[in-house]
This record gives sequence, C-alpha cells and structure tokens, in this order.
Amino acid sequence: MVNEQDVKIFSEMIGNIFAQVRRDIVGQAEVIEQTIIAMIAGGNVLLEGVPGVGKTRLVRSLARVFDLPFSRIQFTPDLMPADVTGTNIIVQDEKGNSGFQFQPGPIFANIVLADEINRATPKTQSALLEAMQEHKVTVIGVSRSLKEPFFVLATQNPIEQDGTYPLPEAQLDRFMFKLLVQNPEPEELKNIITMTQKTMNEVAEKACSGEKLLKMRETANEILVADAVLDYVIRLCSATHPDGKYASETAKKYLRFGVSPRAAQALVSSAKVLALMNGRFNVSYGDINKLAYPALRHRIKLNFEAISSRISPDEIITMIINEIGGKKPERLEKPEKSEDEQSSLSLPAERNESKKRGMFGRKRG
Amino acid sequence: MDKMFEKYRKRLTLIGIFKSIVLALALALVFVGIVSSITWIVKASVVVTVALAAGIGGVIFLVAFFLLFFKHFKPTDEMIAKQLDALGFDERYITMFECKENNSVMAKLQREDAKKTLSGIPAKLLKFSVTLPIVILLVFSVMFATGTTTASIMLSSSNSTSEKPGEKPPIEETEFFTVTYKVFEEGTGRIDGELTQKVEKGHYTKEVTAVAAEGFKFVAWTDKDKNFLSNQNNPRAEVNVREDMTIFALFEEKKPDEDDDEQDGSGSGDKDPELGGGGESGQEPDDGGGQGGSGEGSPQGGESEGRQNNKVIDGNQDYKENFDREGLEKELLDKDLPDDLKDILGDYYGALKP
Repeated sequence: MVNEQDVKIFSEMIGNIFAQVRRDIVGQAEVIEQTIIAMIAGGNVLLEGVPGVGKTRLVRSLARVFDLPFSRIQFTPDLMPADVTGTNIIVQDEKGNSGFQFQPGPIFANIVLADEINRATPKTQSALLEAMQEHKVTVIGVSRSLKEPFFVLATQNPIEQDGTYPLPEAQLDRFMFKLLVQNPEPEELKNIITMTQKTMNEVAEKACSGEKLLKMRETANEILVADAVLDYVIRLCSATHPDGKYASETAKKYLRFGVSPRAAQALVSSAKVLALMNGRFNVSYGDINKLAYPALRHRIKLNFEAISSRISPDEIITMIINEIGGKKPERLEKPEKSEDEQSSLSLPAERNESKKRGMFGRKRG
Repeated sequence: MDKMFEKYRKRLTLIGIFKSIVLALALALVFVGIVSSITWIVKASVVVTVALAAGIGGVIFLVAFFLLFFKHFKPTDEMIAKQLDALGFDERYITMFECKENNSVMAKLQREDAKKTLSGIPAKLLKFSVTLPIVILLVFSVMFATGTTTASIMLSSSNSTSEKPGEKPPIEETEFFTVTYKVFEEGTGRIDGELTQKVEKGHYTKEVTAVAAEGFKFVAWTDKDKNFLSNQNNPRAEVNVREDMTIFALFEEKKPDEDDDEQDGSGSGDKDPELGGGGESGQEPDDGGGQGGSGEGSPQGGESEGRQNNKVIDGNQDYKENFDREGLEKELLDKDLPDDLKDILGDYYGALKP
C-alpha cells in the first residue's frame, strides 16, 4: 500500500537519479528522462543512434546510479542464443561424478545492455524475447526467473545496414520505448570534450537501488487515470490501424499495420510515471501525447507511400494525434448491441469533432 | 466538490443561459420566418401574421431555451471539471470528479493537489464565446425572420387597404342630382324632353328644347328669379351637374312685326337677319344654339332692356366679346371636376377658340 511517504521518496529519488545521470551524460535530456521513465515503469528501451552519441555510456551510467548488476552483450552475427541465455555444461563434482550444470548467460543480470542488437541473427535476437516479456529464461526445458528489476537496454545503429538483421516486429513490440539519440548540440559537444578530457570513466554515484526502484514503480502505478484519458489512449492506438473500424485517415494513407495492445499498456504505465515525476497525481492528455512518440514509433509499420514520401513515424504520430482531436477527445461510447460488440469500445461517429471548436467552447487541443 | 466548484458553477450557469438564449433565439427566428412565409403565401392579415409569428416564435423560444439549458447547458460537476481542465489544468478535475469515491492515499493526494491548483483561479477565465457557425446561424435566422415577416406584413397591409379578405370593398356613394326644367309662365310654351332628370354628379343631362307656344317666342333660360343663365343654347343640356337645379324657359309674347318663324329661336340661319329673334328680350344672342336665330339667324334689331342684341352673325363676325366663353371655361375648369373630364372640357374649349 502506497502512502504519502512513498510519494515523497519518489520525488527525492527521481531528483537524485537525474542529477547523477547528468554527471555522465551531457545533453540528451529527453532520452535520459524517457529511459528512466521506462525503467521505473518496467519497460525495455531500444536506443537508436549513430555511433558515439553516448548510448552505451548512458546505460552504464544508469546501472551505476541504480546500483544494479549490469551485463553487456555485444551482438555480432556469430552470437548464439546460448551465449545470451546460458547453457548446461558438464561438470565434475568432488567425487568425480559428471553432470549437467546450468551456466547462466549474461542475460542473468538486472540491467542488460544489448549493444548493436540488430547485428545478431534473428535466432539469437529471439533468445531475448522471453526474457524481455516474461522476465524468465527457459533452457532445455527448464525455466529460470530473472531477478527483478530486469531491463534490457538495446542499442542499434540506423545507418550501417550491411550485415544486420532488422529486428522483427515481435521483438520490437517488446520494447516499451524506442528512443532516438541525436547528435549533441555544439555547446553540448564542447562540454562532452571538456568532461572526457578529465576521465573517460563514469562518475555517477549510486542514487537508488533495485528495491527502491520497485517501490517507485509501485508508487507510480497508483497514479489515477480518468476514464476520459484512458479512452483517449484507446482512441489513439485504435486510430493507427489502417484497416480497423476506427482507423484515422493518416493511418489509412501511410500505415500498413498499427500498434499492438502492448503500446496502450506501455503508454498508460509510462504516463503514470511521467505524471508523478511532474508532481501530479493523475495522468493528463499531455502525458499521453508526449509519450506517444517513443511508445508508438517502433510499433507502427509504414507503407510504401510513407517511405517513398520520406515521412517519418513521428510525423505520422503527430498527424494522428491532431486528427483524433489533440488532447481533448470526446468520451468513448459503448454500444449496446451484441456481446461481441460490447466487448470492444466504440468511438463516436464524429471522431474529428473534438478537434474543432465546440459549440461555444474553446478550441480543443 | 460543490463548494469548490461554486463560483465556476455560477459562471457556467450564466454562460449556459447565454448559449441557450442565443441558440433558442436562432431557432425561434427560423420558425418565425417559416410562419411568416406561410402567412405570406396564404395572404393572412397583418394582425394574424404578427400574432402567429410572435406566438409561435415565443413558444419555440421558451421551449428551446428550457430544453437546451436543462438538457445540455446546465452545468454539472463533470462539465465544470472538463471546462476547468480545458483551461490547462492537466485533467486534474475530471480525474478528481471520477475518483471522488476513491479513498486511496493517491486519490486524496490528487484531490488536495487539484484544490491547491484551483485556489485563486478566477471564474472569469471561463469565457463567453460564440463560434462562427453560431454567428452565421444567428445572422441567417435574423435575416430570414426579418425579411419574411416584413414582406408578409407589407403584403398584408397593402391587401387590407385595397381589399380585405371576406369583405367587399367600400362602394363610394354616388351622388345624384335632380335637374328640373320648367316653363316660367304656363301657356307661353313647352319644353320637349325629359323635364325632370336625375343625373349623377358631374355628368350631363339629356337635351331639352324650349318650344314657344303660338304667339310666343323663346327668350331665354333663366333661374327662378328670371336671371339669365350663361348657357342659352336651345336645345340645351346641363354639363357637369353638381347640384339640384331648376331651370326655367322664359317665353314672351311676340310683337306683331316679328316673324313667326323666329319665335322659338330655332329657325334656320338663312332667315332674314332683320327679323332676328329675341331682340326685344334684351338677351344676347346664343351662339351655342346657332341652329336657329341665335346661330346664323340675326339678333339684329333686337333691343332688350339692358343689352343690344342686334348684331349680324354672318360667319365673319367675331362675337367673342358677346360670349364670355373664357369665363365659362374658367368656371367649369375651376370646379371640382375629375381630371379626365377637365381634359375633355379643355380640349373642347380649346377648339372653340378663334
């Protein structure tokens, strides 16, 4: 049961975490914030960026700040699943008897850095699936749970495509966020150079612990979400399905596939953390809109028209948000027809109504 | 929550009333326009048009106002919460509203946060605003109602002045006058024609002719006091009758030297001018009755008591001075005659001018 003290601890912790991470990472404020949100919410993060922008350093720094066991897997084409999960090896006991003993792989850590994850074969990539989703590993029929908290922070390079294996949709869907790590601004670059001339090592200190992180997650999970906001999340996710009943015009034009239910779960979970980080005890439309980009951009599949028009997933998300009415949608209505239909929420016929001005009201959005 | 939302509820109630009035007014005006159009088509009277438009418009306005306000615009807690959130309060109030039964620590913290955030926020931030479609609707309805009502009323009023439905137009009382012709002294002559005539105002009488008895001659047309009338034509007719009239034919005994043929003044013009009739009567010759002695006949030698009547009318004689035509013309034209009749008389007298 969460109490007021937990909320205070959360506020203090979050401040300390940011302060420590900023000692190692210059700039990238949004990436840091969203990575921490994902970690508190219990999600995995895919960091995409060109080499040298601090992806790996960020992960190492976070491991230090959270004081959690950290392992790094450098993904290469010859990396095998057993290299990730571990395997049974034959060992001899003191009496000379031989037997199989499970040798845990690097996945058995709290924070796993899957560096350049798209360089491994799909077979090896898929070795992460169970660990990422269910936080357990099954080797030769034996399932072993991973220690909580467990995170996979993967990186990938968007420009070198030779010898890479793009992550399958199933794999991508298991990342709560996909964060784009941009090149630093000139001023930030200057600070990076200055800082690294003293030492290349991370200097961040412990600001949290695994137990405290779990408590923070529990606290954030208590944040209230109004039905109207929840309905908005559903509208947003439903609007990405081009063939769906509630497809947006943007989705029909530019998307092949929409997001999975995991996206909606991720949005709500992460929005709760963001709200509490901002000192609020309820989720707002603004929280949802802000986190829609990292939560949805890797879950939507662009069609040929979008690719040929060089329209980015973020632009499409912006268009969908604008189309469904910004942050003030009408409440969803439940149809009262058949049981099948009752199981799914229906959107009002005038889906775009809310983005227009109300009868006498202010402009929504 | 009621106390917390109190000032915003008042404000939203005012806004709701305003919105309801505007929309109800627009709706009522549309109905007024429709009613006016119908009354226009059926040519209803002004009173009916105004009464129907006002009555139906008023009823529609009241019904629409109450329906709109109580069904749509009357502020509820949820509506207030949404309106406040729309001011940029990050859905604090709708969450608070939805979780008002929630007694968890987080819900209590959320309520405290919402109350704290709301303190000091003036209700005036909830503004009266009318969107463009509503303005267009209102303008259209005003124009529609005003136009159709005005047209209908104008049409009705013009109808009522000319002809009221179901009511015959008032018939103007036609005025008739009686014109009576009499012989001044019985036995001296007679008058041929209709002696008593009922004539519509401004119209003409039928011609009558004064015929002298044996041994008498026609002298003049007079009134009851023997004053000679300006028109001495024989036969004569009254023009533009505007009053009851009694006209006397005055005869007098012929003198022994007078020709019998001239006795009635209707003799042909080739008679001996020396024997012109009426000379003794003293009246001037009658140019209108020129068929007889007063025409080409000779008034010559006729000496009345006051006036010389001995001029020869031979066609070359300008006898304008003897005939006060212009005076007659002026008298007639000055009277209250219809314009068309004045035109006819004007042409007539114009033709007589030398």
